[in-house]
Amino acid sequence: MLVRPCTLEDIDAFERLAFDSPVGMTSLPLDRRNLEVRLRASQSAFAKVEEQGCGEESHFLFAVEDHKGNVLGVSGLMANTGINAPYYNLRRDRTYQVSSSLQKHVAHSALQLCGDNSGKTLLNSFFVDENSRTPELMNLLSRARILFMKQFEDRFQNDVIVEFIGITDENQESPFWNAVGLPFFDMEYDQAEQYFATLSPTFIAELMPPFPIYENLLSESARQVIGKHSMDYDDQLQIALAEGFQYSNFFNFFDAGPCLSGPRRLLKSHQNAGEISLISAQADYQEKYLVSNLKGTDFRCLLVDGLMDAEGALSVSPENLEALGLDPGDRAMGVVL
Amino acid sequence: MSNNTHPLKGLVVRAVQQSDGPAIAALLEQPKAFVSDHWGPKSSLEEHIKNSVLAFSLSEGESEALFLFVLEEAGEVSGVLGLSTLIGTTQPRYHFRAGKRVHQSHALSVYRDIDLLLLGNDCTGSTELCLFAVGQKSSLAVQGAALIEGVFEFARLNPNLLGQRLIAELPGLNGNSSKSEFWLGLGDRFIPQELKHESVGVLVELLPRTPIYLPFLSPEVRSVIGLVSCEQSDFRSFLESNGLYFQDMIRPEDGGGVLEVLWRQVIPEFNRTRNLNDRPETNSQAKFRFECS
Repeated sequence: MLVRPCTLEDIDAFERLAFDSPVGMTSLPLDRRNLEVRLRASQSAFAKVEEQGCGEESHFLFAVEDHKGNVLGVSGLMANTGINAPYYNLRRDRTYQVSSSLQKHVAHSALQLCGDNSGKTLLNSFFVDENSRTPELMNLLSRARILFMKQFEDRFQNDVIVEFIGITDENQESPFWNAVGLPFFDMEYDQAEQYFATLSPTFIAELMPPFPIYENLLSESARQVIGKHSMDYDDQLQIALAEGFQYSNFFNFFDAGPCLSGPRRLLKSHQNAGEISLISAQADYQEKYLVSNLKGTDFRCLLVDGLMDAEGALSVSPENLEALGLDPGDRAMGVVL
Repeated sequence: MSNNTHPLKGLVVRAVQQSDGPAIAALLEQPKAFVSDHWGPKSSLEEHIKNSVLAFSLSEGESEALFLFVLEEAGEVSGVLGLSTLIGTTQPRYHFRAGKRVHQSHALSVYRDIDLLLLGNDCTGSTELCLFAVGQKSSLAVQGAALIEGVFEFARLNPNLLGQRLIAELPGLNGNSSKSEFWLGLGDRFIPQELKHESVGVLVELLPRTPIYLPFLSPEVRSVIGLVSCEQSDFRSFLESNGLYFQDMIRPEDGGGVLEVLWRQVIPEFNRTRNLNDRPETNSQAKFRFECS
């Protein structure tokens, strides 16, 4: 299994994954031309990552492939949100109302459309073929992005966020959308998600309520799903939690799925990863490592069996070394799986 | 046979006197008597009359005051009308104001107008018609009209006592009680269990102060906004025929509509000159008396 930058040649695989992915995964829209634009932007981001500081949106797309080169999944990393388009979330605010005659106070919980997560680094576009979702592959595809960030640290923001798709019912309807979005957008959940994936998101600001949405007024079915993720994404969420991401007060504005956040330098893969040199040796190694080369366009990240010596050199098989595009003695980024 | 006598002829509207107590109490027993929620308990009638007599004699208009007027017909009291002035200036008064926001997206060809309710204190400083009743043998069209005419005359003479606006809070459907659809669907949602036994009028203080989107409320709640309980529908028509109208203010307790009018809309020469901070006037209105003609 190998993670590498997506290229334009991935368009067919990309389209197939987009077709299989849930409607809430708006960074993978069912629109070939749109996907092409995203692939081109990603190629350009990888090409520029070595010389360019932060400031651009820089949406990197990674593909994971099996040993035959079949693309099994995709994941994304956006260096800066809110650059090319506004980045919206719902934020949960708690306010107090005080009654002086009763000498009592009550707290009201409300959701507020906001751009607070603008200017952060975002992990997104995560989707893997249903039959390929092994823990190892999921970890590799997810954490490769953090190794990549560590390598090009100054291209990324200190705060990293990741959103998870919220709950939909058996009819693919979102109870949250039906309560909150429908009255304002006058369209079904999947239609809105499709618009969001393919149009400028300024329509969110045009149609979404600018005043707080008091949770007390929402139906029970809508309130129950606020901050809840789709079980299809449970594996990925568990990886994020293990990585050190935490639940926040932010939610997706369509389906109220949770937005997790974490300081980049405190993420486990970031903290535990280090630069290592690689030794080529064939043996029966017991330990599993995520290893990536230090390149941009030719970025590769592998899950390898290896052995770390006392000097911090990692022995890996010659095949793995070749897959990384490296020679014995080259430097790499490595972390225990 | 023609009858040239005006129906109001001989009716007198005057300031209340302490001796009117029993007659007013009897009038308030009428099934259609209108008593505002803010009037207080029945037992306080004597107290109210005392305060009103004092208010007429001071005519200061600096703080909330109650002016009670009675209708006299052949020496008998056959109607009563109360005005509370400067409401909300010592204890805040809350009302929802109905508003609208239009959300439009050209790209999506979506155009939505969204109704809102905003809790505020827009009636602060207004005068409230807080009490109204006519006797069993009297009618709104005659005795009621006489009371209004007398009170408008009082307003014309005393613009500085009365603020800019006259309002009347009419009870909503299943008025101010825990049975009100409106309260249960909106206000009650914000009240924690341990406070639900408190009176609704007080609990209003705990409601949020940013706009409430009506689409989040149930159709049942939305359908009763601004409606008036059946017992007061005649009274509502009567007030409307005297110039008051429902604009956009709603009782938070039960969704009942607030009728309102600017004094100058019904009294052309109404000319309020004094600001709240100015020195009070001293002309006593204790002997206020208006004979309908």
